[in-house]
Amino acid sequence: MQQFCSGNSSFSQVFKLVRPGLGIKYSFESIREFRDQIFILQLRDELRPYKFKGQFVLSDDSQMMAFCGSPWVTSEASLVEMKVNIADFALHDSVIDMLHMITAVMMERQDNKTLTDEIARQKDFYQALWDNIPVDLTVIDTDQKFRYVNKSAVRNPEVREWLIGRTISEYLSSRSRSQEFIEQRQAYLNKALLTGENITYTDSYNENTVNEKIMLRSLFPFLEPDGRKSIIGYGLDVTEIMKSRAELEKKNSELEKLNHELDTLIYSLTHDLRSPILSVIGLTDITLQHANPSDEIRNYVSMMRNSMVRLDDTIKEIMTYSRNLKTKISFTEINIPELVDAAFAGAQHYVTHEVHLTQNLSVDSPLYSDKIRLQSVINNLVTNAVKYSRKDSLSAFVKVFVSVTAEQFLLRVEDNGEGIPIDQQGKVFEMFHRASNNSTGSGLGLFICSEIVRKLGGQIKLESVPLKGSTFTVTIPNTPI
Amino acid sequence: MNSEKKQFILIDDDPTFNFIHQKIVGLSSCAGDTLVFSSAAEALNYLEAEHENADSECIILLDINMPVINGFEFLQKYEKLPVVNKRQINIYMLSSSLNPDDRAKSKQFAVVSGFLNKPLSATDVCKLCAGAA
Repeated sequence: MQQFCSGNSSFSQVFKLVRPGLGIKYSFESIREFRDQIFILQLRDELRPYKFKGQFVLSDDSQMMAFCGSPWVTSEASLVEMKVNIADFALHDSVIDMLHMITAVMMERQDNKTLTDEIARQKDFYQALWDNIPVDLTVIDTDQKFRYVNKSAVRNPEVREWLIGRTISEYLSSRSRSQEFIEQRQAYLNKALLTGENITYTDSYNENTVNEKIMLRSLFPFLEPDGRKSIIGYGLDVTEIMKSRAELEKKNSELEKLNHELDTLIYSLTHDLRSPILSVIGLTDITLQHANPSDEIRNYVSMMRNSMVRLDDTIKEIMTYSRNLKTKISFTEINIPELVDAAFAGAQHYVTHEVHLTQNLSVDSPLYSDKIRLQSVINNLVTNAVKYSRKDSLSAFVKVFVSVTAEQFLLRVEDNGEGIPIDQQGKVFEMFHRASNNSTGSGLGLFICSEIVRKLGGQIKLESVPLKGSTFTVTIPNTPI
Repeated sequence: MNSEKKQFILIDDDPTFNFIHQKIVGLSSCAGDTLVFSSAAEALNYLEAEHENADSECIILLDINMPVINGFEFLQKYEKLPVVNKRQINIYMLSSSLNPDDRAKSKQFAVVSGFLNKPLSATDVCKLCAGAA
């Protein structure tokens, strides 16, 4: 058929209706009314006035009609004249062929419609998503023009529409931003585009008012499938976060100041409390050593001195406890013999009988720990061992064993003294607990020891047989600096 | 013999400690005469005025916690005195402070030879005289 008519001609321009002759018009509706009749069409072409016979077939949706027919051939000569062959004519029913063709066209149109609907649905979904997400989103092209702005970024729909295709600079000027501000924002965009790196900065609005708003903005450069560089601009309202952070910082610095004041208070309090105690100790020393007192007075003054020493020890323990709680751990290389010697130096004074002090140090590696804390632990355990040692100058001993490896510090303090009753052994590390009736202490020493060991990440352990002696074992990780 | 004995200068606002320390130093056979000042200002005045005449070795026992001019302020002023270079003076801090900061701070002064805890003992005095403390 294509050889007879060009694409843009109308039906009436190309064909003349030969049959049906009466009552039919050259219109879609009219031909549709006559479609149960046989049609004979003739080409309006004086050189080739060929005729075709056939019928019109209507599509299911009545939108389309097709002519199904074949050339009106009267003789073989007319075949030659019309430049067609016998083989050009269908062997089966041309009407059925046509129906198949129409169905195929219809299905293709249906598929296209489904696809178009799906794309539209997805577009709506993403549009709704972008518009309802509580984050400012914009897409900016290489030339710094807005391609997309979501509702959160700009609430006014007119402004939003106006923005598309405008540059950052035009937008910021419209918001009365300073030239300096605009140039800085342009520089951020350029940097993101050039380096391909994310750029993050904050914008403040209505500064120092109740409506102050702080936005955290990030520029994410991305490469589109066609090779164009674009930027996703992202803005998050961080006003509340920044406000609470500032509040936290303020509170923290207040607390630090308070903490420091408390520290100073504790130091000056202990200093003031200790001064008179130390005066009395000094006076008792002079009395005992240089005033030649009678035995009775010597006895009283010694008791006075012991009470004062105990009071001073309690103050020092409270001090150590507070220090352990508040002071940061400070790691240094530890000189173990120095610490043990210092602990031994003061220990003997706590008892009147003689205690045999021995030490066995095996140091295979430098030890790193907190010197002041470690000294407290060693002092405490050695002093305890001496205080509760066997009251017999010939056999009483306190043995200190230390082993330092690259991994850990091990301290064992062993005595052959009064030991700790079985039912008390679980409680010795509790605050203010005193396990011995002979206890002269505050019930803080071992509690502080276990607190310090715990803070240094180690363990403290007790083995004791009543009336035979006690062994305390401390292990602390060796922490290289 | 007498010329080898070291002079002791005690600087402390607490009269009880001054009494005890003076007694302890006095009872020691190795110590020379003892001067007691109940304020840092008095001690500074003495050191400033007397540096021309004195030439014997001297040990200063300095309290930290004192009113008006405390131990550290004394050290700052003392360092600027001409006496520092003319006489052999060893300064020891003598305090009942448990604050490790005080110890650390004393170490920052080159003129401080050591840190002692109150009350001073006879053993401390012997060590000081031998120059071993």
